[in-house]
Amino acid sequence: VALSILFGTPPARAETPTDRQMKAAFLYNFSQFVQWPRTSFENASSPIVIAVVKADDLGTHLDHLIEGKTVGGHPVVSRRVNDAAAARGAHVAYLDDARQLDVLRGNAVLTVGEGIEFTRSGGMIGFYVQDRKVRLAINRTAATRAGITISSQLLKLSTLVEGK
Amino acid sequence: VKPHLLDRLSLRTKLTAIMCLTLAVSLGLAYAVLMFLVREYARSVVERRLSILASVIDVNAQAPLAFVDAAAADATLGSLRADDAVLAAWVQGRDGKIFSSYRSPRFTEPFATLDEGNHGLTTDGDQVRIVRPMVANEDRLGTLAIVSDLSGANAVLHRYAWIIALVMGGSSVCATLLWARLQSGIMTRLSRLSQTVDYVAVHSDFGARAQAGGADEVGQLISGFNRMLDEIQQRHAEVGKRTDELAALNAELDARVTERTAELNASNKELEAFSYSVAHDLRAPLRHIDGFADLLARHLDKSLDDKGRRYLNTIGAAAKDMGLLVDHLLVYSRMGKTELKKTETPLDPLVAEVRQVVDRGQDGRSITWNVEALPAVVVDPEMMRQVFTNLLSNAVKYTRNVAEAVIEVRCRAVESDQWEFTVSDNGAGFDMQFADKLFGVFQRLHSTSEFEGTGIGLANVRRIIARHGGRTWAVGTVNQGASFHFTLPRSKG
Repeated sequence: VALSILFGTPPARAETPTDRQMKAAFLYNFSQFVQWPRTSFENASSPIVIAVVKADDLGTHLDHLIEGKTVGGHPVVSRRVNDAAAARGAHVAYLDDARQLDVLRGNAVLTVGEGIEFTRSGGMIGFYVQDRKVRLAINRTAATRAGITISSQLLKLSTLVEGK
Repeated sequence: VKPHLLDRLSLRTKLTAIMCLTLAVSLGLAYAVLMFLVREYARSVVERRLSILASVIDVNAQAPLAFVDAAAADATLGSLRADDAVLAAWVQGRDGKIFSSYRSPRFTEPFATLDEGNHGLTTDGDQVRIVRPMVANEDRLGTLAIVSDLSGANAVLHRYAWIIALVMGGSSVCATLLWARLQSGIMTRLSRLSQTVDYVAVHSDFGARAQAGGADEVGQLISGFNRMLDEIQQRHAEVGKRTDELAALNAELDARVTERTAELNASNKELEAFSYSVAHDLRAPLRHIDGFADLLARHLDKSLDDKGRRYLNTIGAAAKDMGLLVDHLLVYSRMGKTELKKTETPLDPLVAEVRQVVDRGQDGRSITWNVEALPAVVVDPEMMRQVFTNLLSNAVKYTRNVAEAVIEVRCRAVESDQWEFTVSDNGAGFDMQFADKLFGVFQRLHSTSEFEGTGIGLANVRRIIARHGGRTWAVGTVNQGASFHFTLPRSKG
């Protein structure tokens, strides 16, 4: 039920929900509850870039979701990249490995990965599954260090984790 | 014109009714307007609170909706439990399905499906509902609906209804008391004036006065009425005074008339007594003069020459004339004194008898008599015989020099209760300027040598007719004849 709300897709396609689809939706939704430093955008209509490393079906789902969407005047776009280094100019980066975090250190990029361990290693948001539902873990310190403000509304829903 | 119901009421009742009506209408209008305003205000308060609630819930439910955390959304909506007025709230996702909801025990209806058409505030009976889209940035996440009841607003409305009603009741009482106090100043004076008017009309007491007061129209009315009474009272007093004066004058006049009449009667009686005794006492010496003149003539018979005899005859004739005069005077005097012996007297035989006596003295004169049928009257018959004897003998006497004498006796009814008798002739007649003298004692219009007589007959006629309650008068022309008229009452007495 919850997934179908998020995707707004016809029931026929919503009948095959996967965690990947939900995660794709969350990647887009983060842009509405996160504030980047003003320097992250060249101008008022610069795009919000969501970079996905080692893109698989998650990238496809994301492309469907963000088509024609804008947040605060910024169009939302996705980019498939091969490693973290390529995600340096992006606003959101979905990483498949916590070891790549160091590459993005010092950049105002919201780092998203898998598991609570990802946030303990210095990632900002990590997906984990509890009671068959996708939950969020947030390392607020890491976000603040990168100049990114996460909405208290989002923080309230998440498990806060202390890490590097 | 049919009198209006209002016209039959007293002025005080009428004014009070008008006042009450005015008060009721104006207060009723004010009450309606105030209650409308209070209702609108209470509703707007409820609606604004509902809008604020919806904004807060919206902000707090967006993240749970975006990240599919129904438990968090339920907790947010559940916080509405703190507000008694909120009946229910629900969040509908983009797919049209209910994502989260809250329901108070009082709300038993199913959650309605929300669409673009019913955004905003709608009121349905005792419930007011707000529907707003949940938008994060430009992205539509879902729709929020909150339903609240208007019991709070209605409670406010109730409270204000009572307060306003109490205030208006209080001001009505105040206005009524004020009215009673203010109008009594006018009405009391007016009813006092009205009572005074009634009193004056019923008792004709122009000394009464309405109690004055106030410089307004009522005051002017009262003082005007009082001034009018002053005037009337003054006139009334004057009229009374004049009437009294007049009455006094009349009484004085009456007294004077009575006095004079008594004096007149007394002197009349004295005069009559005097003349009767004089006449009576004159008869004896006259008889002596006549008798001794006769004796002297016989005594001197041979020695008396013709001259002496003529002198003695003249003395005797003069004494006889004087005796006749005295006799007539005594008769006249008796006419005034003897009691009337009235009886029903038919005049026809009486006049015929008198005519025979009068006729007998005539030596072959030709007289035409026209005597009408005469009625019977209640009179003294002897006196009435005197009247007709005088009138008929006069008529015969004064037609002596007429070749064809005509004497008429007529009678007609006049003035409904009188007979008028007329004895007329075609004889010597008289000059009308002496008409009144005819009926005087010893008054004569002709010399004794022309027509003999003592001049007392008509005086007797007038006296007798007057004693019977009638009048006498005469109409005549010199050498054309005369007519003598007298009246007698037709009724008895």
